[in-house]
Amino acid sequence: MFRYFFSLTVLFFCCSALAQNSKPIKIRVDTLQNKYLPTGIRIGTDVLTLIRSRDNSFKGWEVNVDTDFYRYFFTVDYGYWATDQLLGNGNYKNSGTYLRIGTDINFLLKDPDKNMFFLGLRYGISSFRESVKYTNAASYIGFGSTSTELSNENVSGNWIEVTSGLRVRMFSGFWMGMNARLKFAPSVSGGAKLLPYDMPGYGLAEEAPYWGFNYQLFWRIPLPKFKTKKLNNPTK
Amino acid sequence: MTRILILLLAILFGASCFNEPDCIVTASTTIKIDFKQTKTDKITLLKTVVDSALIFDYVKVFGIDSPYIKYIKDKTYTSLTLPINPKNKTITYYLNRRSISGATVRLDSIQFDFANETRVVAPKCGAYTYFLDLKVAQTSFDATKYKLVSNRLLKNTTNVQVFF
Repeated sequence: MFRYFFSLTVLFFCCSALAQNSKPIKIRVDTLQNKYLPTGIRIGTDVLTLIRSRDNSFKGWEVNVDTDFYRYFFTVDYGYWATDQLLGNGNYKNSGTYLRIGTDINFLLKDPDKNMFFLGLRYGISSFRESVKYTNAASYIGFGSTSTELSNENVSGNWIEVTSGLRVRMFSGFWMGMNARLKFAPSVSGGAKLLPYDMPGYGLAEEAPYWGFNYQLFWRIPLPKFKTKKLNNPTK
Repeated sequence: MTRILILLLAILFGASCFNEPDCIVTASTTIKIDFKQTKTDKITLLKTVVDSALIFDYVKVFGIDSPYIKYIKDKTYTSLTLPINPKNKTITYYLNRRSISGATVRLDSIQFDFANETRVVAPKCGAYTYFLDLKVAQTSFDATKYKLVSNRLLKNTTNVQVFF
């Protein structure tokens, strides 16, 4: 009797194993494994810079790109900035480009529309030229007034920014965003007799901290998704 | 959630503004010389620096033909604010003092060298030349009798103290 019981048990386990192998099995995928893979790239521009460009004293544009790595967004901003400002006693001109690189942390992870409220950090670099033409009167009239014309041909600078803002999905792949920037620790090199005044991407080089705002429009290009792996009967 | 965020976007857009620089011009094209004397308290023996009132027969500034300051009866000066020529990098002052009685007259001179830099203060105020690196290049005063207090030419700032 014991011999039959043992044989029936072995047969039961063998059948069970065969029954399981005949179905396609679903392997549980580690949800943490792929979460740092980017799902899309957002490309946009700053509307405030474009609006400011309607004024004759400012010309500029800015391109913003970001991509997600789970709750972290790697961001790059590249822009051009040129001003022609009429001063009380002359005029000031500058032009140059700037680059900001940094990361945003999204605090709205569970939002179904993938809207963002974020806090971020940026490192900005700028390369520009500037010139000024002005007239100063001497305190003693007899010395007359002095007309001065100076320029800095190759000025470079850098700074750090703490950013915060929102990015809201309006429809389909179209997004709008508002960004507030607290810029600080500006450093400028290359200025000679003319102290660098207006650093593209930053603002007044002598002011710190300095506030900046962006109102951005984005288009999001989704990247191919990584599908859940399915495994069929390995014996086949 | 989306509606709340759109509303926040609109509020932030309305609140966005650009930094306006302050219009404070501190640049000066004058050198301020204070006249001082050291007094010792007979009891405590503590030394204090007090103003010294001088009478000038005249004060001349290099480049200006007529005396910048002429003798006025009973007029004393505890400091002088004298102009520089912004086109040059040096200026010389001639101080012709007279005693209270007017019996004796002494002529001293002091020559300053300086550099400059340009600063755009704000669009409304404009750009200004700031004079800095002020040095006493040459003087008839004894080296222990004057002290450079500030090497930048700024409004209401004493640059040199001369002791008598």
